[in-house]
Amino acid sequence: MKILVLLISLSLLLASIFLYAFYKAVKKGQFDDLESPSMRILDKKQPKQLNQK
Amino acid sequence: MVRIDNSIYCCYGCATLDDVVSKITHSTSDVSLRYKQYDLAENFSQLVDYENLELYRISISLPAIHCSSCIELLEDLPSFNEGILSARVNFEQRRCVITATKSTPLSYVAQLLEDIGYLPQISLSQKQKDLDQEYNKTNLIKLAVAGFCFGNIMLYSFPHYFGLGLANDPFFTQLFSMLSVALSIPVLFYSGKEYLTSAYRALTAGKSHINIPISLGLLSLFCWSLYEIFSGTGIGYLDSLAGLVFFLLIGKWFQHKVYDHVSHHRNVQDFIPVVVRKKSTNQSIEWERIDKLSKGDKILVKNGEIIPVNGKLLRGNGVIDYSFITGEQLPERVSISDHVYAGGCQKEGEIEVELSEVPSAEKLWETWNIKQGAKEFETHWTNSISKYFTIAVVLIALISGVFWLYVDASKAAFVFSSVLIVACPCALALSAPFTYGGILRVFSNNNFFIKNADSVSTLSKIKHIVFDKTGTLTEKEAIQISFSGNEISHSNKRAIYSLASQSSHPLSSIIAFNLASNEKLEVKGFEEIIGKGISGIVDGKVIKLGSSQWLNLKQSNSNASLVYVSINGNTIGHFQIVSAYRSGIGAVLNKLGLNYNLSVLSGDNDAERSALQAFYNGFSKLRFNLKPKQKALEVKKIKTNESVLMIGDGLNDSSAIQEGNFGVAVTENLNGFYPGSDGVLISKSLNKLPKIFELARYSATILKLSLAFSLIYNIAGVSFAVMGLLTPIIAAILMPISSISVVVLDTLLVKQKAKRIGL
Repeated sequence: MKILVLLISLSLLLASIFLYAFYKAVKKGQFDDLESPSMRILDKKQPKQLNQK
Repeated sequence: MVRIDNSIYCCYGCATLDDVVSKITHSTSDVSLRYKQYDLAENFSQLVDYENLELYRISISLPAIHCSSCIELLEDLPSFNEGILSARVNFEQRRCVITATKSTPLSYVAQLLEDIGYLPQISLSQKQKDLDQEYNKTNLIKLAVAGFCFGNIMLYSFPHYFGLGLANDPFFTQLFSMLSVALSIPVLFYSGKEYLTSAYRALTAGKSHINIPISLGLLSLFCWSLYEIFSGTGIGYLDSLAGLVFFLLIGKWFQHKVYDHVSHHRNVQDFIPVVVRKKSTNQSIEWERIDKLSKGDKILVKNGEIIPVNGKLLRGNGVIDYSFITGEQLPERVSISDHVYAGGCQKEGEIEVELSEVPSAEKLWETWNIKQGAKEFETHWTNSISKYFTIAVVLIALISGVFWLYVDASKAAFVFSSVLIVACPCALALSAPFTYGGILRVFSNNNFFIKNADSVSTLSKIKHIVFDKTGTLTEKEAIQISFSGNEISHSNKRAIYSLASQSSHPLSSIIAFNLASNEKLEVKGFEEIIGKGISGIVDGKVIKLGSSQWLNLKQSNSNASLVYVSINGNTIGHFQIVSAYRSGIGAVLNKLGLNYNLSVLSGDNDAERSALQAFYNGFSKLRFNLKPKQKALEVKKIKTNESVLMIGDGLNDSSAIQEGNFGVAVTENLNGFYPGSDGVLISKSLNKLPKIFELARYSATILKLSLAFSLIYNIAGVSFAVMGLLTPIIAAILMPISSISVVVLDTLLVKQKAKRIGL
């Protein structure tokens, strides 16, 4: 049963990575707009180079 | 082939496309005055998100965005206009982030957006919106942390729940407990921080707050669990603790999402000209801020712009609409060197005005009687009930805790926290936001937008509805005048105009205004017979204007006011003057009349009294010729007896709207400016008003039902808990279930009611 210790620490680690990834995604604004990307994909034109800062 | 303005297109589609593209590529219209203020350095730096020497970036709210083509068009702006470097749409928030070169001023970008049909909402208060978004992000992360910890802690509790062998293993029990403690700390002190701090603040301020029992429950659960774990007497209830916080945060997030959709604030500065065109001594024209002008300065006011300061007309056709101030819907003609007043809107061409006093923006706001600052909202009764509830729950918990201390000391802490948790009034606290949130959503689907979910409760208590006439009961262009009969010759037009302008009767002035482009002749033998008509000799002709009776014609049954014209004894036809009432307004008034007292307060003359009474015969007040201030006073008078809703045109009724317990601004589109209003109704939904009010009234029933439900639930729960029959685990499981069932109940009841009445 001691294998559980390893499994638990692995699962905690994995989940923490996901949590961190989610944190990053929220901070970068990936959840700001859940609708326009799905519409943007229908745009035939090449995606423009965004020369933002 | 289609020919438009000397260009030939293959089809109308191409013509439309070319029109839009040409608007994007070169500015077609002059940049509107209200956008100019954005270019002033101090405003500009507040508005933009980022700027350097060459370019700037700004996020602009464009409520008109509504489909994927909008995204395509807006994001394609850079390929048509060199000044715009990039454009990126955020569909959910109806915003567009635009990067442009410094040589393309912000006012130009704003005008461009307006020209292609996306009226921008730029306001100096938009930074608040960004803060909200930041807050939203933090909440999302808090929610994620709570979810993460809750899931894991739950897993560690499974062995105990299901009586697995693992539960008896001291090593794993120890490990799981420690992990749970470690994970519960961020839940309580990061995710649940807001509950603790607001409860602490309320306590130190000596106030009762819904978060107090929640915080007490959370803390007692936490401490009790720590005690059990470290004393080795049990595994504690940390899973319930984490679950509690998780569900609370989900509710809050949902609530925020609902509110976010309906915020519609605009700043006063968006509407009032903060900069004007000043004519300097060397005749050149430059932009100047209002507060930097001085007496004697000359300014230009173009068609459709608002005169910012009292002054004297120097040049141009002064046709000034004072409806914002006086409510009078017919513009006034002003001769050269006469006075013009601040707040009037120039309607014909460009005029030059010499200022006769030192201007101030505050004064202009005052003229419009726009009070800044929000209305105070009465706290909702569920809040006041839960206040007593909170105190009662804490008392019961304490008393039963003390009681058990004497009976069976080992059970005391356990009973104390069970009572706190099972009786936690969050079901009660959640029911109002969810009910109102649901109603709010139904309302906005029906083009009725409310500023604040709590105002639904104000709406449900309304007893008296006051309507404005022009623009609310009638269409925006309130007066339609038409002539039936043979076409009037030019000389006759001149004669009719000259005669009509002699009289101050409302119908005469409408006719006179309509013919005002003619030159005025001398009128001899003018006679006015009140209630019948006017007559006089103009240019050698005997002209009579008046009712059919007066001219011995047979009466016609028409709702419109008819003015017959007779020249030298021959009737040549009649003018027909109608207020264009919105279709179906009679049905709306009659339906509302069943449940409410109705009144009409109008700035116009009383020519329409009978027409209004024909629609609905039980008005408790029907007042005409009221100035905006008088309207506000009337509303105030009604307010002393019963709670009143004022529904009117956003601008000239703003003070009355502000005065009412609830103020609704009626508008053609959402882009306007509605000071003091609690809600905005798109005019085409006016006939849904009875249904809207019915749903609002029903909210009170829903809340009472949920109150009854959660009270029964709580009384049952508390009585078990007090008897020591309820372990905190079961209490903590029951609590979110009760909250969720109340929420589901509320949401379903709102949906079902809305469906039944057809909203």
